[in-house]
Amino acid sequence: MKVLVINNMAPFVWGGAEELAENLKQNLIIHGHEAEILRIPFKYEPANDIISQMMMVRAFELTNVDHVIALKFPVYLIRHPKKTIWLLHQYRQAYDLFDVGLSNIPNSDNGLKLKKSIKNADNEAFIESRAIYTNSKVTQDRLFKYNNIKSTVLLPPVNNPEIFTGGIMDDYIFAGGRINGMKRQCLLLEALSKTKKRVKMIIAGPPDSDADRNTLILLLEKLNLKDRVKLDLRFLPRQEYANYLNKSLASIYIPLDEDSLGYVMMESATAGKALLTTSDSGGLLHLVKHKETGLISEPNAESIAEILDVIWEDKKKALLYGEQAREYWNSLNITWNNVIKVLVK
Amino acid sequence: MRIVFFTPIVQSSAIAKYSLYLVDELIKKGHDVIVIRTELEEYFQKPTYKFNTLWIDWNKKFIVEDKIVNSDILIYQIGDCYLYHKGALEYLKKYRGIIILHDYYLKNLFNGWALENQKESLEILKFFYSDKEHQDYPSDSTKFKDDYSEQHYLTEWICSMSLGVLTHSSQLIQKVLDSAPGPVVVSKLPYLMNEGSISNNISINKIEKSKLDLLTFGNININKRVKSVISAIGKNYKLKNNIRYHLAGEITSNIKEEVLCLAKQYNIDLVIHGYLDDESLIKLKCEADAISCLRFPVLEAASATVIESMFLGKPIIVTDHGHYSELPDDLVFKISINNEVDDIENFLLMLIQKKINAQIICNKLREYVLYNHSLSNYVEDIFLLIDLVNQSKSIFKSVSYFNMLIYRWEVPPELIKDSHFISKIKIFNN
Repeated sequence: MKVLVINNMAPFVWGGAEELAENLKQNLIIHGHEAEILRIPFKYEPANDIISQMMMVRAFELTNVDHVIALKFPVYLIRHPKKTIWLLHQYRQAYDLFDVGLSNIPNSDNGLKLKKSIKNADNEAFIESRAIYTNSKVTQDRLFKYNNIKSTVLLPPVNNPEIFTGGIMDDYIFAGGRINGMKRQCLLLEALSKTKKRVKMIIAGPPDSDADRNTLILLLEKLNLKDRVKLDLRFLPRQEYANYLNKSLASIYIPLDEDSLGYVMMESATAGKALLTTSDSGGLLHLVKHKETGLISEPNAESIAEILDVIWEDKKKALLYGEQAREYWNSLNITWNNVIKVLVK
Repeated sequence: MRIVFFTPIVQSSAIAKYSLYLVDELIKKGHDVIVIRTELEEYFQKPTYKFNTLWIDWNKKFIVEDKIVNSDILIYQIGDCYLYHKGALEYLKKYRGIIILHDYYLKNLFNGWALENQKESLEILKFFYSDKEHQDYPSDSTKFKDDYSEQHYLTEWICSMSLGVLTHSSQLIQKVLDSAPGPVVVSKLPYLMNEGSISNNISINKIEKSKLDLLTFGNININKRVKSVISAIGKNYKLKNNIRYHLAGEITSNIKEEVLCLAKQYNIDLVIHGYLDDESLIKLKCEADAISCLRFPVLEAASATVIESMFLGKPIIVTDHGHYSELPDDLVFKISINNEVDDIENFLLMLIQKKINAQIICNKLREYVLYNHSLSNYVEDIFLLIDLVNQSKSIFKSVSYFNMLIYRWEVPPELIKDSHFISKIKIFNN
């Protein structure tokens, strides 16, 4: 079967969704399909430009494709008689983020109309799809709450699980992933400045923008943490990233209300590392069980500092939580084999 | 080509008469034409022109739709009179076609339609004009101010529902270009008068008369400047004694009372004929020594009255405005808007003093009309437009598709009109 995976594209930005699309393609091929990725540029600023981009996607005509798997807004608006949506996220600024005042859509007459247009278009795309899967319970709940659309959770597998072997623990906590405001690496630095112990940390990943990079570097200097924190701000080769994780004492990831379980956390669980996060980190909380697979703090520097101190001081606990995280993750049996079967059935 | 042709056919409609000739010419060229009559049902019992083809009442929807789906192209005659064009509006939105636009100003057409389509009409006003002042329109149309109506012609409303537009002058063409999704062609309104009936009557003009006859014909309304003509005659005793002023065409009792009152006040010789059949009207035109084709404001895309008058070879006065300004200076007498009464007076004085060489003007006018307003050229332009429409179908399909998305997604009109948004789809400008 000729399967086209469709994803958004922000030039020179590479993150979890891009990895997922790439691995989905590879695994489709492994399972005997022909597969390609179509990446369609999308930028959400200014908000008034969103509609024309939605229209562009909607106008595409696909031929020589048997099956489409679309991952995100707005690419899931694409027309195809056999379209499956594996929903990583909608345009949240038109939904939950709008409700909490974190949207680029103004809370005005026109803003509300724009929001409604996005919802109308979304509903049109959802209704015409043959199946909708979501990448987490959070995404599923949101889809039902705002669009009254039922879906099935289909958790994404870890890519290259064989490289996340774990191993001898070094003396640092690892914070991997994209660097931006939503992932709150600055809050991590503030927490480190408040720890009682000299907790060390490696923060590694590609900044979304120069501003994200500079903010982090300046804060590191301001808080005088250079001797305890290593910043490796770039897109890391996969093995290099795995090495950081495998040698870490534990893994911390504190995004604001993430939709999914988070690749960083899934890979950390695969590697048998204790998982640290905050209570407002969304989908991650399905994987991070307090005092079972890791520790959950309140989303403030003091509380995060506390769990950093705990895990730093008690390495046995870190080992135990890590092992339990790996067991729990394995029990979910999330494999590419299962995912491919579901998506192209 | 199988053509479905929407037009009024009652004799009181100038467009109906024009359609009679046009349809005949299309049939002569080998096309299969079916006429859908578009006037209100109440007009179905009134005398009609006899079309040389099948015609169907617009309200026989099942039959009409059958003809539409089996046709190659639809042609809609559109003018500013709801009474005559209601039937066209019933189909235009759903079944797009070529629009022959007789008037740029379509507020009266819109008003009539809006009474039965209040919600949609408000949306249209809002979409094209975004004028919050007129939110209560049309429930209280008295608030539809004059200044508003001068700016907002509603041309955009009709043209936006077309596949292509044929109009008769380039005046206000920008409104058409801005709103018509397909091609636009300007073609001069054709000369349609039956030459035989003119020849039979033209000799009447040679009879010695005590007074010269000045004629205004068509539906007699305010914008035909009748009161200015009466004032011009009335202010000069030579004109009072030498001019008889005729009004021929439907006239409301209010206007009739007003002009009679004014004529009495100035003591001028005014004859109000009311509606005349074709034969009587031609006779009257041939008897006339001059014709007034004054209009202000100028609301039409072109004037059949002027063309008819020119072919008759009569000295003609026109308002120096709109498409009338485009007429050659040596063929018609142009009356300034700002000096209207005095200019009319001067023209009439030249006329009675025989300072106008009627015979030379007559020949020039006829040559001009025959050369510039040929029905055959006009039909060629219609088919040029049909070709252009066919060529633009793929673009039109895309535009229609986006339109549908905008409608289904309820995209706010304010956003669509945003210049940045428009620039995103500027590919369609070509």
